[in-house]
Amino acid sequence: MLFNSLEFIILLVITFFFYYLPLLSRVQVPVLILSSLCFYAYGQPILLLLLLFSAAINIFTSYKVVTGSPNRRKFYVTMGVVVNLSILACFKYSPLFAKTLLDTSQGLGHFLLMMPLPIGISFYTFEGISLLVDVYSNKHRDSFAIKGPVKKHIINTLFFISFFPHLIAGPILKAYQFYPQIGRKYLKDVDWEYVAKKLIMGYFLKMVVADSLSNLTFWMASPYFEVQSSLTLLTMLFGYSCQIFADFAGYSLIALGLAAMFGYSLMDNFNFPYISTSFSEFWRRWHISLSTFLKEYLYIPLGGNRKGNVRTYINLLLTMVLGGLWHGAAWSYAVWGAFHGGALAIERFAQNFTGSKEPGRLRTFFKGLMVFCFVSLAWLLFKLPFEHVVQYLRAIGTNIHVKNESTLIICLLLYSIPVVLYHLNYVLSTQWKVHDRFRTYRYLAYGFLLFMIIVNSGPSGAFIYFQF
Amino acid sequence: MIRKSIITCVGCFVVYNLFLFVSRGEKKTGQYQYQENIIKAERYLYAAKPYRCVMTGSSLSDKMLVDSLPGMYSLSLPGLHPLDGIRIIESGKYFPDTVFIETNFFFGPEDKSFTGHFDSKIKNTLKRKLPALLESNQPVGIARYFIGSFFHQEKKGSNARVLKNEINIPESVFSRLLRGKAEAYQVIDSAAVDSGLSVLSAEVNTLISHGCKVCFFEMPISPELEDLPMPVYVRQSIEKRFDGMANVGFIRLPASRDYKTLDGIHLNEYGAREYTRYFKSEVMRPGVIK
Repeated sequence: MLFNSLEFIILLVITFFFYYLPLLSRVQVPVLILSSLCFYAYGQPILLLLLLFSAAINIFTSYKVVTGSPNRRKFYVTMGVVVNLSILACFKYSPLFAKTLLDTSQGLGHFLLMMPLPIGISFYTFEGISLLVDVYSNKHRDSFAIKGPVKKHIINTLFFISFFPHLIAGPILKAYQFYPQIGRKYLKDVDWEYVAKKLIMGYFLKMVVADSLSNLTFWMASPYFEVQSSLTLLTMLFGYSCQIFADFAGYSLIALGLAAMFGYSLMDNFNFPYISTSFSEFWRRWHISLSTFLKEYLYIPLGGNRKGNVRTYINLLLTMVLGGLWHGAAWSYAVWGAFHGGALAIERFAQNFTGSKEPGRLRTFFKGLMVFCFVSLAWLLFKLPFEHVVQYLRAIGTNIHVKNESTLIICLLLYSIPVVLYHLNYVLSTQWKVHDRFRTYRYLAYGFLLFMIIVNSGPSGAFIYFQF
Repeated sequence: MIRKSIITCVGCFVVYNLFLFVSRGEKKTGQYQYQENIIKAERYLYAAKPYRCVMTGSSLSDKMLVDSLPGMYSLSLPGLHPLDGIRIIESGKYFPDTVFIETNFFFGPEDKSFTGHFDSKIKNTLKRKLPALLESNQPVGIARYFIGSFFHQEKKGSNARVLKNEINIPESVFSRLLRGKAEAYQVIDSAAVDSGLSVLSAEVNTLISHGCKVCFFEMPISPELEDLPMPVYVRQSIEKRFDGMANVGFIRLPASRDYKTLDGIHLNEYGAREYTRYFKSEVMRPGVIK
């Protein structure tokens, strides 16, 4: 169910009405759970069973970690993590395994290739893992603890896993951040200005920018890119960078706005990533919920940067390769992760020699440009199979004399402008403190964005990150 | 802030509609293929005067220079099939006198998400009354039109382009595309063709029952491909089903064909112009449709 579909709007209105009905105030969380299960079941009803199974495993094992015998805590957390990863491996990575090692035209290979990919599986299995690790480590006992009757734990955990704003494309929630928020909510406490800003910006980025750009970057696919000029290919690459940001950041903003309507605060998932002047900064600003998850539950347990330089570089590379594979069951994603891991490692290596001297503005600008160019090139691995990436790059070099597609180029640039302005606005307001006085007129911008949503939306398309 | 934003939005909407009422006239504002298809369909459905002749097809017949075919409206929709164009005709308020149907790719499935755009009566009514809701009037499309016009103005005064019968893509790329198509055309997908033929047959009967005449035409493709098993099977299937039927005619491929294509199936500009001339002469020939 897409966030901009009529079915979703109807579900949202009904849920909102019953959620804040005083008569049903004691069952607010079950109302949201029911709504979330309907939301998930709409597209793939049979796979609702998998979601419920995953939630059941996490409920059982997390409860046993807390209330069971101390000697068995490790057993239960291990069991829970292994089951979560097995579900992910089975449904998400078996086609990759089949394509790499088996004959996919018949037998087991064909069966594995045909496995359905449950939407949102990468997100809710990671949340289950984070819950288990948090209850086992007990690091956040001041803010989060599982206690009380098992019925409450079942409801809270099912809610944590299935809450619809974040269910199918994040942000990936951490249990210790979400559980303390669970409780009765009041309509008068809803920050409608915050909700409106998030929803308007989110829907604008998704419906106007991303959905339109997706029709323009269609021509990046093979064999179409082979007959495009170098300039057209480069512009499409730039447009795709803007598209993937607008799509994912737009979704995340909508998720934040929707959650806020029901009194819940989700973490920001994007912090203007394309202004980053280093790769480590990029990963502090892009898909923040995933990068913090990987840091907390993979990079640091591997040793982080505490075991010498070489081990640090290996940990960075491994974390990013696995992070890449999380995105999709294809080797191109692993290569994408390796690119970023390699860049982080090289950057870390270079920092050991240059020290922490503050660079000048010009140098900062060029560093930012370099990071953006690298990140954009790497996005090609998201868009195309590996062999086509090589052909695409080759075409950029060889198609200099092919005629430019001016309509395509102009449209790509026009739709990319909002992404540029979005980042520029941040830079001007936070780093250069240029236009504080214009804050009074923000409503003009939001009004215009709303107008553009009504008159300039592209054809509805699924969020790119739904496939992960 | 919310109230002020809504007021701003409404204000922009009203002003934009007024601007569109004042600056009437069709402009080429499509930004991408899918949208251009929607624009074509909207212009047909919401036209002030009915069109007497309509062409339906795919990206192949979209190459034709319809401006030089007076009275003809093209519902040839790149990425889609003739059936989608026929559905648009059926969802309109009238039926044209003659429907020209491209036969190269008649057997594709209907794109329900496209034709579904025009199912809602409320949406259709709003679009007729409020031009800002039409795809052709998207602000970015209009901006793109003006930017494009500005740059093209600089080229005014240059001599009219002389079209050459050539293709401007690398030879190696063209050969690979042609080879790919040739391999695909070796295999006859009789299930798809036969099933498509049943659907097409029902649609043709519907059109005829509403007073239309139907004329099939085949777009020329690369000579290396046109006599391969699949195109031959498609051609023969159409002939076998519809030849001799009342109110049905055929525009067959010209005897002498010197067409070059961009990728094996889409005509280059020169070929499109030459074929359009041939098509026009055939349409005007008496007895084309029985």
